[in-house]
Amino acid sequence: MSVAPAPRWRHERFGAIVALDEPPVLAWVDQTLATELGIPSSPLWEAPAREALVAPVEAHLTVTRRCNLACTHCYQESAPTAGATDLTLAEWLPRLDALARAQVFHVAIGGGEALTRPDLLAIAEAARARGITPNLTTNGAFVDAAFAARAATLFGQINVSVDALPPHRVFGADKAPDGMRAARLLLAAGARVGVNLVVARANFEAIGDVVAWAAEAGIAEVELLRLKPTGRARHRYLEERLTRAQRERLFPLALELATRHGIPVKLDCSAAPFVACHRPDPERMEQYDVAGCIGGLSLLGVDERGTTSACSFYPGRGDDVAELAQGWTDSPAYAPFRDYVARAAEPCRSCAYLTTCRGGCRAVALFLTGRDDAPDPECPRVEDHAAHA
Amino acid sequence: MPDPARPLDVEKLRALLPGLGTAGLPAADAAPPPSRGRVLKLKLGFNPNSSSVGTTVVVFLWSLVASGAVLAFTSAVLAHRFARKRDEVSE
Repeated sequence: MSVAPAPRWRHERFGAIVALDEPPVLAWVDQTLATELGIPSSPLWEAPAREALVAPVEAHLTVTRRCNLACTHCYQESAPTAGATDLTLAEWLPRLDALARAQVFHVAIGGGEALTRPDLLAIAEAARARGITPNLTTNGAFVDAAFAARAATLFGQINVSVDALPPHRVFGADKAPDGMRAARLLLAAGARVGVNLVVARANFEAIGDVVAWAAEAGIAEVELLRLKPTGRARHRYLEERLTRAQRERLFPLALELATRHGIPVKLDCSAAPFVACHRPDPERMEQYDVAGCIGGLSLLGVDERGTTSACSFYPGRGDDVAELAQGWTDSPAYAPFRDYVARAAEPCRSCAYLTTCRGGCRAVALFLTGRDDAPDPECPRVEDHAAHA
Repeated sequence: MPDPARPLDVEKLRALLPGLGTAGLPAADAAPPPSRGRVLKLKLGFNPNSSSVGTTVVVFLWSLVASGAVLAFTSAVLAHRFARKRDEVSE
């Protein structure tokens, strides 16, 4: 009989979070079910409820700013000559220790292009050795059969970037051929592979072809990511961002493509306003974590220097992740995220989706309004409210 | 701190993904009475993307989700598998 892999769990005020890698699931369970599962009670269970978890569920690690490409939509301003500020492997280890002590379940490793680091696998192995599941995003340029074989057993999932199928060229780079080749190698090695697709005005009509290819290739899922005005992407954001019609079309299109091709399609957290504008069941959104901004609540960004932020798209003004135990509780860097619901202005305040959407993307709001507490101006409801004000 | 030696069931949560039938239960009617406890929220899949978090919008296509059956079924499977895990540990 095969031995089931050990589950991981940690106490939360509401009960516990249980994590499995196979199948990949995180379950928020109440105190009663936690007890039934054999999880001992905790003093936390007497503590007042709050939105922020006791620690992040996942951390996004920018392990390098170096990249073989210099795409126009890059949120990091990565380039071939960047990377001088990257932490070394030895410097990452105590920071992974801090994440492990906090019982963070997953890390998403990216860059830059993470594979430009010769010690990438060592970083991932160090995370795995500490009980943290490493996941990876790559443009695929440096994936070969040897890497794929090792990565297949090391990473929970690897996402490759394919923003449009060739010969459609977007964001100033020909990424797709490498991403598609890498996907084939990784799939052949037995890896769980997903596709990241940054959605902008110019490639919106190309989404369907990418999803069709992904389904045919055996990709596990396609994630549609809203373009964000950070890093290099801010320079052309106003011309490249989605139109109002595209924003409203995104959610039904995701469902339509998932149905037609039989493949899960995800939308990223910043797209929550574009889901909410279709008035789906708020309870179902909550139960299946179809959530908006969770920065600083269950998500932590860590840049290449080890500095934390509520989200990788938001300026990193937090502490060093090595001090996570203190910083997660005390750092003011998370305030704009954690306080949003309590301070929400109209039309967010009266919106039925306020607690799930949480005002849309903080990075977009900050860029377009200069305020960290403003509703996302690209939310259709917010846009309509402004038009009638 | 979690104790890795405790018999916390891994298999129970396998019920969360659709298409797995009885999620490994010997038979659908072998599920124990529903647990008193509840699964409050499920997050399905990994999130390899290192800049934002993806949400599985296809849950709006699952008819079982609408009735809450997935959450209830999950609780039942959790209880069943946990009991089996305890049996394995005691043997």
